[in-house]
Amino acid sequence: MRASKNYLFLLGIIILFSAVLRFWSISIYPPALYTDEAGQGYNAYSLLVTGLDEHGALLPMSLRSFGDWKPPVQTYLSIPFMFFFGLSEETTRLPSILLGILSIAVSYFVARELKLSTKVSLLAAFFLALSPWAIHQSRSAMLVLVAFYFFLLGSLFLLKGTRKKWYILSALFFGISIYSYYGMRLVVPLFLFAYFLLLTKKRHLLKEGFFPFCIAFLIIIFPLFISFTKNPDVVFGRAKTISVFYDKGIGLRIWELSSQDGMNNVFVSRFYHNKVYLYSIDILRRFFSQLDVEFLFINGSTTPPFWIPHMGVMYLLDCIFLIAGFFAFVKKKIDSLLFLLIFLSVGILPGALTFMSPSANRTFNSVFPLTLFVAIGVSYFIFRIGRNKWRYLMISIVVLLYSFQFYSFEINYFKELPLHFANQWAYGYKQLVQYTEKLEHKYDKIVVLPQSNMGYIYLLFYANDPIAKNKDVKRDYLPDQYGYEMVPIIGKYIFMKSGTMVDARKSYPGSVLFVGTQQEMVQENSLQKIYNPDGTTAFVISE
Amino acid sequence: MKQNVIQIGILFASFLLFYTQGSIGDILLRLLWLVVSNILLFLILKRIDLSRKMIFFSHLCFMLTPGLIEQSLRLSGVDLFLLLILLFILINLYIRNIFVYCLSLVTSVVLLRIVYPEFWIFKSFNIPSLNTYIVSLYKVLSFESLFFHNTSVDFRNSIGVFYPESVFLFIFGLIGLINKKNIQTIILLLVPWILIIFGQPEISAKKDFLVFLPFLAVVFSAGILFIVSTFERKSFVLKLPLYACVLILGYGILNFHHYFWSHFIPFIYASQ
Repeated sequence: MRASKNYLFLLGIIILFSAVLRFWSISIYPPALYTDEAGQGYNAYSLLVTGLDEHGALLPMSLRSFGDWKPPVQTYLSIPFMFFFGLSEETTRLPSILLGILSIAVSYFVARELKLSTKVSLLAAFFLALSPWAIHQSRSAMLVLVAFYFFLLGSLFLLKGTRKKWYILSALFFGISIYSYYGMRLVVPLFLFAYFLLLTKKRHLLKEGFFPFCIAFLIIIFPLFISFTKNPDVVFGRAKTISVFYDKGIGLRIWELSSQDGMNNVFVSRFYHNKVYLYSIDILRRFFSQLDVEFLFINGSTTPPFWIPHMGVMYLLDCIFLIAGFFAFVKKKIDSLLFLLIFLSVGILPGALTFMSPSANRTFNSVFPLTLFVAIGVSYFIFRIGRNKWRYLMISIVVLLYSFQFYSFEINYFKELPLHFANQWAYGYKQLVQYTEKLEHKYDKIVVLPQSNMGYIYLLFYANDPIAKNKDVKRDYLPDQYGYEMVPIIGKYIFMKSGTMVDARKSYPGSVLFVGTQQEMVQENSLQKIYNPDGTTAFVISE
Repeated sequence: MKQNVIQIGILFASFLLFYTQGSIGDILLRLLWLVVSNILLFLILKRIDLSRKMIFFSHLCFMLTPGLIEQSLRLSGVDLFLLLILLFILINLYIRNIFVYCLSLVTSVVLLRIVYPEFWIFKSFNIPSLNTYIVSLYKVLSFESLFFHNTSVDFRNSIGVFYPESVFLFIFGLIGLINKKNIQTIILLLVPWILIIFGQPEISAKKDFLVFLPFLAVVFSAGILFIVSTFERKSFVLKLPLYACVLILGYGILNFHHYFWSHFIPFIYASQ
């Protein structure tokens, strides 16, 4: 009894430690709100005040946002915080932070349900608290953390099993995770299918909870089915434009190889060079790219803003303990290995099916099994290799090495990223909007050049009256090549979809303020410049 | 006896499939190299008490490796380097003596200077940093480089060292070998060569890491046996995934065969 109280106390310390890492200066690390974050924050505020999202939909099941139909859970979770504290960077990110902290506790209990010792479970919670990947995702409102939390919670109650209420709770949380992130619409069904097929004794299933689980799950996702019948984009959203099947590379490759085979060998050419084979290999390649050393420990994600400079998504030291932990699992024939492998595989799958891989956000679910392997590896190192008097030496070595790694992460994340890579986080929009709003009354038009992309959402987010500003929005709902629906006009603001500064001057004569990037406005005499923290120019404003 | 004949027949057939291109001299040299390297590999695997099946599959995996097939178009220093390493391992497995170990290591390096003078330590040797090792290891030992795209195997970056369909064999093979102490002996003997080879900068542009192919073939062999033993006593229906995997792997080998002879080789000749 006393031992378990001690362990819970230690868990409390770990949670407190993770809270500090996640809460500290949340509005400036990351350095600015990314467009997706601003979109979610604004929609949450709009729902709070009017009950409608930015497009005027009443309590939507999916948020249209930029035409990417964001899953709604993160947005709805922001509403209570905005009720008390208003629309801000902090309130937008708070759900991620809080659920990121709670996921530490849940990971401990999941590890315990997997029959791992208390020490290993505490280590798993600790390494998740310390994980650069988890910290980065917790500190930003990017959907995946919320989905991960509910997925983990669903797994916890599924593992508890034995009683109907646990299965129903599990179904509830798995259902919520499906409403939290696109990838879960693939991950959850696959995971449940694999779990019920491989890991549960069927007799026990039928007796206890399989049918209640299925019924509860179907009830929860039923509204999604209804939305899907009205508009398929609600379910698949951006999936169409980011999937590997949208990438033209395979088609070109087939054409190239078939041309080399010539017209006389059409059958042979089709037998060897076909979409089924090439897409399968491509998906397999992308799947394993998520497990490569380069992604996990060296360079991390290829796509901003999910990238931490000069490091992977895990610490370099984790490489050794991850491998050791995996082989310790295999060697000891621990039962939970199959569960973790399924968890890992389905967690990676969304990243394998998109052409921007390896991807740190789409495969975020895999952080749990990977962290668990690291915890096992460290535990093996300390408690098996280090016995008696050597154990304290082993612990000291591990603590020292991880301290260096953590210090390095702190430099990269809290210094390098905001200083040199702030532009990846769309830095400058807040300052830009605050500046142009002051001058708005002096000009007939304010023209924003194309490279500013979806700056429109910042205009709404940072407006003096965000709700009133939305009434000035004129939408055409024309998607670009990536499926994003840009807004052409908000009141006096005109957002060009293409063209140069020369085109802008010709198209918009008179009393006009122009906003663009340094490259677009290189010939212009600037009225004002907005600078990035590293001194480079984010935006140029000229008349 | 019958099994031996079948095994040798399969190996010879795979040689005929892939290695009979070029002049008679080239073919004879490659045949000689193949025979010697396979004999050395056989003696090594026999010495560490691997089963007959495992030895056979190791040879087969070794012979059918895309990286080796591409490499063996013309005999080069890397192939002779491979022979040296096999000989070094074999000597030290039979004679376990620190003096013999050091002498064989030095002799191997001297012979390497003769057969492979382009090797980096003879060109511009600098003591490699830890960063060099980390970069080399992660570039060469990545899934991408081993199974999908490897510029040193195919400068058009279309194939890896191994078949992409065999990636799961590799993983199961590592799991299957985890408890085998005799394999650990070979790994320990390979350590100085690992340090020498992976200490070179720009290793991903070189083919030197191909000298480890025979040992990696053992991993695939272990993977094959792991899967076979898992499915051995299962019903026909449960064996269906196994048969499907065999078909897929067979298709992958055929696909490589087609790519290699219909696309890669003509491109090589066209660019010369």
